[in-house]
Amino acid sequence: MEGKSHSPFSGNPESVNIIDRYYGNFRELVEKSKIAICVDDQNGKIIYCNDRFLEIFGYQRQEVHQMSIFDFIYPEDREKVSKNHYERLNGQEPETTYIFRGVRKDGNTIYLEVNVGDTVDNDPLNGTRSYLVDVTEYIKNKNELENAKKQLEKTLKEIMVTNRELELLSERTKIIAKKAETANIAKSEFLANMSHEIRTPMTAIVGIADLLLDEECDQEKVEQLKIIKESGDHLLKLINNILDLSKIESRKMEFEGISFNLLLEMESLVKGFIPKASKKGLSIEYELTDELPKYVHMDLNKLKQVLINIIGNAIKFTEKGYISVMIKPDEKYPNKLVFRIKDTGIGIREDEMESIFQPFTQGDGSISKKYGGTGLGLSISRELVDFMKGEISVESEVGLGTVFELSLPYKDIDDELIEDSQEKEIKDYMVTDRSSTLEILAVDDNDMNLMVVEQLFQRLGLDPDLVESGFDALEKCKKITYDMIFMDISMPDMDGIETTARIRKECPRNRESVIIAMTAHAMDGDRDSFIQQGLDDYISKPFDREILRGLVEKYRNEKVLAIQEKSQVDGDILLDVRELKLKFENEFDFIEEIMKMFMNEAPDKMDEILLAFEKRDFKTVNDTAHYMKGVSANLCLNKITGLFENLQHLNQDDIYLVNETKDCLDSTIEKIRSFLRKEV
Amino acid sequence: MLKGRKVLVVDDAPITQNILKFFFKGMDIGLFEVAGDGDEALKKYSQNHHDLIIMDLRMPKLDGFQAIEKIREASEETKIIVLSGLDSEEARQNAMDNGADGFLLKPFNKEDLKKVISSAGL
Repeated sequence: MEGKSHSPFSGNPESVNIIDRYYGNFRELVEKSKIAICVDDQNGKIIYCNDRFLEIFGYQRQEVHQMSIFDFIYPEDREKVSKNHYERLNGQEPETTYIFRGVRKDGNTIYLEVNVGDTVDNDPLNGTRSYLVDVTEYIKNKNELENAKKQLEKTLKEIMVTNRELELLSERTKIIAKKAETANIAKSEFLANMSHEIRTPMTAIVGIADLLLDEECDQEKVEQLKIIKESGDHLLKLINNILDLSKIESRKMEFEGISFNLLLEMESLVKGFIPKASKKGLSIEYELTDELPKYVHMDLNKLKQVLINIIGNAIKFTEKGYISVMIKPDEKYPNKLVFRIKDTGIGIREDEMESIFQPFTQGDGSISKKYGGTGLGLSISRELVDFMKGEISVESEVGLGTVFELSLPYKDIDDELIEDSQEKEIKDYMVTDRSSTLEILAVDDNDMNLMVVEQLFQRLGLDPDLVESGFDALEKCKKITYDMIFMDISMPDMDGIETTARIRKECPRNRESVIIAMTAHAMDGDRDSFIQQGLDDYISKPFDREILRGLVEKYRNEKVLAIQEKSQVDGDILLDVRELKLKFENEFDFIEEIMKMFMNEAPDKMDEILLAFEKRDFKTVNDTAHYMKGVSANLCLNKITGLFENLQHLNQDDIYLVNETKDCLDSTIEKIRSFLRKEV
Repeated sequence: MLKGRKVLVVDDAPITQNILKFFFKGMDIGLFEVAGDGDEALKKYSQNHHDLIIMDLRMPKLDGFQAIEKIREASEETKIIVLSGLDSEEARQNAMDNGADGFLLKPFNKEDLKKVISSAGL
């Protein structure tokens, strides 16, 4: 390169000359360049390098003298560089720009990007000119970036794996939840079915024991019957409790809020416990604070269930002392009431406090032996309190006593509203006193149950017809119009639902009868499903005499009202189409035939009556009216029948009645015409 | 059972005759005849000796009770059911005292008719 006139630069020769002249053959550009430049010969021996080259590799100028270019190259990259070098010498065209690793004097590795100068014709050195840039920082950054990227990718992969695991876990959780739900439903169903199976025979056992107790005089037998009755009652209570719990768990419970007089209800509830308490020599203290609302809106049945349970427990677990029941407004929350039940009984150990609310748990095993009970009462109470959005808490000291405190929300009620509705209730109740005998049919495949049902009805002064199957019920219903039909639901061959449907369809006279399901399926949701299936109401077995009485009174009352209404309405009907079709079995040809006969005959007969009336021939008026009454009645022409009936007794001047009959006959004939047009 | 039996309906109202004929349809009887008054009833009875007679009471010419009396002179076997618009225990008793086997109150339906026939012993 030194002293050469040949210039590798393209461009204006003029300006090259100027640079040559003033700056000495570009020498200064090379010397001061921040690009490391070196020239080697064909063996790789360094012939020239600039300051930057020395700086990058950390050498003094005198040290590089006689060194080979390969001394500056990282051993593993030497082959790559020499290959490029010799390819170029051999006239091939290897890459002119590439990166390789160099070694500094201090042994550190650096990265260099090299740009190789063009081959020169007739070059005496036959070497290479290398222009080098230190790219160590760049490579380092790039590597770091790549590492970071790799790390990121790895992390991403891990996240994805974790995500997938989470998804699997979530799916598994869902499956488990689903299984748990299914299992819980199965459990509720099992409980409901089991209670059904047990309640049905219990109907007979408790019912018959009850009946025998009324009749039996032999003291020893009375005692034995009492044992049967009490054990039966206990078993039923257990079943009812289990059913309650399963109802709560299957969320089939409904809030049944009613408005009631708080003082009256609570007083009668507490009074109910007095005999039980005084039997054990305990007193019951009852305290109400002044600021209590008179009327409240709450779920009275559930409230009573909880209070009865807790007060009952208090009496059960107290041997001496007293029970106190206190009701007061909740100081912390407006519109909440606190019910506080305190006893001086055996108390609850601290370690048992939480478990007393668990199903089938009593303080300790020996307790149930001594005191009896199902161990379900408190867990049901807590569920009920939760359901009413209230709280239940307990404090106790062994040997001193226990305090249960309920805090329950209520709605305040306008006092006047209540007075009104209570008066109305009283009035409504009066109507039920109106007595009329009822035709009742009871259907049950179990003759024991039938016997119990019969006796219960007889005590209400009613004498039901009894049948043991749906088919027998159908036969009866074809012949007799019943006011009420008590229908067992579970029967072999044809169940109560199907029997009801067939009665409604096949026995027109019982289409309107009240049909009541007798069932041991006492789940709340059943009621709606019975009503949907054509029944009117239900009563669950074993049934209480008072509930039965209530049902009978309710429908007796409805019947009386219906009869009053019907007689008013029916008497005004010109043509009872429904009855007509029923009577003549929808034979429209025949209906048309007889109706046409009536329309031909009736005006003539009416003329006879008018003529006779003018002559004051009352006998002919009576006879003809009698004839027409019989005919009209058989054709379901209600209104005209009534008028002819009056006319058949006519024995004085009553032109109004005669005219009314004539007018009514005209409207009746018009009515028959329109009926025939429509139907035939 | 009514199978093959001979039935006579005595009523002055053609509509009532028709309705009874309609109700007897399907009961598998052997003969169904109608008469519009007591005289005609006796005439038909003397020819065919019916097993069952449904007899209205208030009729022109010979009335129901007169007709029953005549028929009873000839036969105690024939079942006679009185048809009446008078709803009272007295009327029912009166019919039974006058030789009827049953009492059917107007208006009646098919079930009422069947019931009174079966309680009359047919």
